[in-house]
Amino acid sequence: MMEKNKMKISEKTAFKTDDKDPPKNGKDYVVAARDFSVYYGNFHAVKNANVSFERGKVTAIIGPSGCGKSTFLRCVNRMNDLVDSCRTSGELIFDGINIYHPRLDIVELRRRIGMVFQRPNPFPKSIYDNIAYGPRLAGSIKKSELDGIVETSLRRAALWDEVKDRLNSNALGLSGGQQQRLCIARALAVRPEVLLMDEPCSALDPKSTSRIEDLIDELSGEYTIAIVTHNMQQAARVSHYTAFFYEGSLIEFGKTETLFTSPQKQATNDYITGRFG
Amino acid sequence: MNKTHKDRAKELIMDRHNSARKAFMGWLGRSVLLCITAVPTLAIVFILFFILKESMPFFDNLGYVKEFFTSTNWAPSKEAPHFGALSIFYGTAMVTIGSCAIAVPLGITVAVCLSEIVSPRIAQTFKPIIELLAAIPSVAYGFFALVVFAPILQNHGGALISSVIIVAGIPLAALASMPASEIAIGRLFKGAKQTPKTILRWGFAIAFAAIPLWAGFSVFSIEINSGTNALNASIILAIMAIPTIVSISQDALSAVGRDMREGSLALGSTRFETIVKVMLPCAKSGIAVAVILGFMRVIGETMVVWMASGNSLKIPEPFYNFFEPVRTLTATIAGEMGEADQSTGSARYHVLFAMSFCLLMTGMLMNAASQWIGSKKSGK
Amino acid sequence: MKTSTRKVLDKSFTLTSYASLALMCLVIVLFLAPIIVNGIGAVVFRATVEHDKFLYETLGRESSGYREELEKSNAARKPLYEMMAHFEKSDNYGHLVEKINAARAQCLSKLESEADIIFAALDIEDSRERLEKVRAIADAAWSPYINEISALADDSLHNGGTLSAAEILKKQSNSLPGAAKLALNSLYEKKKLSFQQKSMLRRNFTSFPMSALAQNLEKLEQANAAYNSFKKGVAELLGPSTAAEKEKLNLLRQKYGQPRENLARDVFEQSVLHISVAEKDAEGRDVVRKVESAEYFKGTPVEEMISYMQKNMPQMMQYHWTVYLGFFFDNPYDSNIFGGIWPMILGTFYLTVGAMLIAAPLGVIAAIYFSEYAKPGRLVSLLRMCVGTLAGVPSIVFGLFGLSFLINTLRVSESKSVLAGAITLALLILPTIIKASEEALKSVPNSFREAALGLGAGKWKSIYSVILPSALPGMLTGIIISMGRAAGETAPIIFTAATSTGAALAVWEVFTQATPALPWNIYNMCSEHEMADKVQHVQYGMVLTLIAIVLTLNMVAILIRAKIQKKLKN
Repeated sequence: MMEKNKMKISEKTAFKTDDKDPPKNGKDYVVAARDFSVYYGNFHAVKNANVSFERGKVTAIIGPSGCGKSTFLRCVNRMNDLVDSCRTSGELIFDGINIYHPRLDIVELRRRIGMVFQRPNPFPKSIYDNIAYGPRLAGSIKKSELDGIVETSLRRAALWDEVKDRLNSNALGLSGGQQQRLCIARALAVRPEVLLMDEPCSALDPKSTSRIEDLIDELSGEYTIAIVTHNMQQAARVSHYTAFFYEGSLIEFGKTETLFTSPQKQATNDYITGRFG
Repeated sequence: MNKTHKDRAKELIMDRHNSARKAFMGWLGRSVLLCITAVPTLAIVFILFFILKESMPFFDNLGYVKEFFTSTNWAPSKEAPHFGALSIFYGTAMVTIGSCAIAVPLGITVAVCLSEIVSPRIAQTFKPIIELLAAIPSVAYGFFALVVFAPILQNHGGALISSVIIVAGIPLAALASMPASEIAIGRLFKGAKQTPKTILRWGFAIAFAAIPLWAGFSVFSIEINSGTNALNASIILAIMAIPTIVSISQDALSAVGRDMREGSLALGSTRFETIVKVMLPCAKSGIAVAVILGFMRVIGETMVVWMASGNSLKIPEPFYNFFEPVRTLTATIAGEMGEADQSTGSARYHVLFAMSFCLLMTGMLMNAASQWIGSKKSGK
Repeated sequence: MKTSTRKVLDKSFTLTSYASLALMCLVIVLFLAPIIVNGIGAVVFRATVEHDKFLYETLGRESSGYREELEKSNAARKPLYEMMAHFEKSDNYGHLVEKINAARAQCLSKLESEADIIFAALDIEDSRERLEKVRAIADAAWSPYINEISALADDSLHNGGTLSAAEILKKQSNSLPGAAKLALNSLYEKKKLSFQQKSMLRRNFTSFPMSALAQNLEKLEQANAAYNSFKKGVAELLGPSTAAEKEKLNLLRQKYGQPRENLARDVFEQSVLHISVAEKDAEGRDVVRKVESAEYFKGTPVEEMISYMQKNMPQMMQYHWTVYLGFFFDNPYDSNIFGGIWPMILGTFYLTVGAMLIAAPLGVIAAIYFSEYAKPGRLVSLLRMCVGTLAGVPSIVFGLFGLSFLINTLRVSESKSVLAGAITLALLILPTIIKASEEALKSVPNSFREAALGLGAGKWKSIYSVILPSALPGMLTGIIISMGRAAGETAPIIFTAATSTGAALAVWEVFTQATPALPWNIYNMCSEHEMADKVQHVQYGMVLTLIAIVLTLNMVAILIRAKIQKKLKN
């Protein structure tokens, strides 16, 4: 089914937005969804979503459980290919090319669009090898260069000072928060343009959560970040833009302050005031 | 800045050539994996084909086939051979039934004990020990049967069996007398006084206990001519089958879940009633699979029966006499193929393949049954 | 039902199930105990000097204190051998022979000199009276001679030299008819006798000493046969007495005495303290009877030998504790009666490792396909079903399949070979490996896959750089357990790889040669060995070795599994 869907996207649609659609309002969107839909078998998980991630900014996606926010995020680096029954329609554009283009190099795409998952998932290897995993995939690399990448990545993720003395110990020995920062460092090590975060703090204690949030704040500007969260305060704290999904549909998308202070839609208002969720 | 982002993004689209090559490589790798995964399937097909091919010359000859299943005259000589395998089939059935009669109750009891009665820590200790029994090679069991057990059975068989019957039978019989006496009391005198009831209970207990006592004494003086006999093979095969039965039944029992157990206990059932009325019925398909797999292990076993069953071509007399030597299919194949092989193509060679075809069919049917039962369970 | 009855039932059910558990443990103990105890006995045992002699002479290995031991045992054996030599041959019989010959000459001349009396006797009318008279004369005439030979026989039986005595008597019975004939001829010359009279004389005067000779000879020969049975027992126990004798023997079992104390005691009891004697039973048939030699040889020098042996056994055999590690690393000699089990161990190793090398990659790859690539569908469920079915095929059927397909059809080798056996075993363990590996792969958390893919690893790359290393311990568990199974399986290798005798193979020979292997040789040695009783320690040793190999592999697997579980808990 997915194969068929891929075939529908013709050569033309791949570059359609290239010339026709200049950045709206002079803004530079890295990822843009146009009437993007996702189906799991017969279930319409994401309905005609139009969301864009602005370069260098943090976009939060909020909504109650099962609203399709994670599904949408996982489509951005085609992680949903792992699900057999999943198919998509509409367009999802990354710097002008369609992410669902049949000849797209998925492996390369995933290097450009990194991802951090809900639960910290370091490999059962040493801290060093965890960070070096991505760079090594690209081909042989000099030890000194690799050392540099590991250090930079760990520094970026604000983990260097804590682990610099035990780079060779097993990553599973770190605390949950450290593990999640390690996962962020690991994602940064392949120098992605976009960083997708799928509820990165849901498995962490408040202290670790705030460290991660600080980290997101530091990383914004340099990276385009999209973060899925069910924690509205978090979205309000870290993001520049917020998208609110409800039952698969994008209800509202806009600047975070606007959305939280004067929501346009009743559903958004109900959700952020805690009527449901 | 903007431009470079877009240029870099364009690199993500592979040209047609690269894309096709990548797709092809993926397809190729997948196909190679599929081919390797198909090895067991190929093996099954080849096994079926070759066993059938080699046994076809035998099955083609209808005179032989009728004799094969109905006669006990086994004389696989070159001149005027006779291939009456009835006694061999009978021996196989006898040993299989005998060992299952020992292994199934014992195995299920041990499984119940491990999953329901002892603490999980003890169960964790015992399970590997019982699994070790499954790991011991069959030839070691055969050696034990032949070198250690057979002489004991031959010299002190009567005493051994009678003491087992008395030691195990009397408590079991006394237990069985209890529900029986309850039923009798319920039928005979409802609401009568205590004294006759007590007398009746004791009477029942003594009567029941007398049965194993009598049986034990009557076998005490039995003379066993050969230590390698159906009983020896059955006992040793039972020991081999028990780990399989225990392991799978225990998994089935553990899978029933706490709520069932607690629900039953909460209604005031004793542990015994909970196990018999709730746990065992719930786990019955898993236990059935366990029994079938144990049965398969027994029927396909070669070394133990070859060494312990005595390899006699007669049907025991009387037919239930477990003290007589018997012969099984597997032992016949193992024992005679060495001689038959020297003249490949002889009738004897093919009849042994015909026997293994029968074994293979039984094994496959059993396996299909266990998979069917297993899938029914998971479908629920 | 009454509550109290229910409670009793509940309690007794609990007890019954405990009892069944205890029974299982008892079975394990009863099963393993004799195998462990006797199996260790193959390596650690009370050896005799013969064991060291074998090691030194055949394998060139000198155990400590061997020389001293040898000297002591030789010194202890010397008196016995001397006694035996003395019993067999006596040098003092020269004068006895003279005496016997003199007695014979005297008797014969007396016969001639008493011609008149004899003739007179022949003339008696009554035939019965006549016969008695002639017999009385013969008796009187031959009695000194008969006394002499009886004395010789008795003397030899009591003082030794039965062999020489028997020889003397044999010579006498050869030459006596001629001498008697001469004496009779001189009688005939003196008076013409009828044919009947002549034959009567010949019958009485010749056969009379002949039957006495034969009687004595039979007595001696019986004693000699019994003595030879005893001597055979001694040779079985101690080995040949001289180097020259040893040279003549072919089998190692004849060249050396008993190498182990228990065997030595057995042989001493069975073949030295008891001898087999040929007798005639009531119906005149020859039967061989076992008699106690002390009883049988009472009053003869052999009795002395027996009591000497009883007293000096430890000195003659030089019992001592030894640890014979060579049991594992030496080749077997003379059908495993001497030496070790190295070729069997090596053969089992080849078969097991070969099966593993074939089955492990196939199994792991199939498991990867099932768990990482396969999408549910008819094809995949068919493939899965076949894996299950393959697991249910009886092992002997694998053996026949190997024979008819690998050897008779594909001709992977001329006849049985390790390669054919390893392929057969590989098919046998393949389902186990696939199932265990698939379980291991399934237990790898999905987040690892996502993380690897998210970092830009291709599917294959993510499998071998992250998923396989994580699943490796679990896969190893399955592979190791199935290695144990391959090591212990007998039925599949009977027709494809195993041979009962043979040397250890070199690695390159595995493609063409059959090999001895522990499981098959255990069967062979306790069911088809010509001297199964003599090699029981080897049988037990092999069983223990096999069980130790299999259980060690399983223990390792259990340890790995426990480690994984511990890791998962953390």
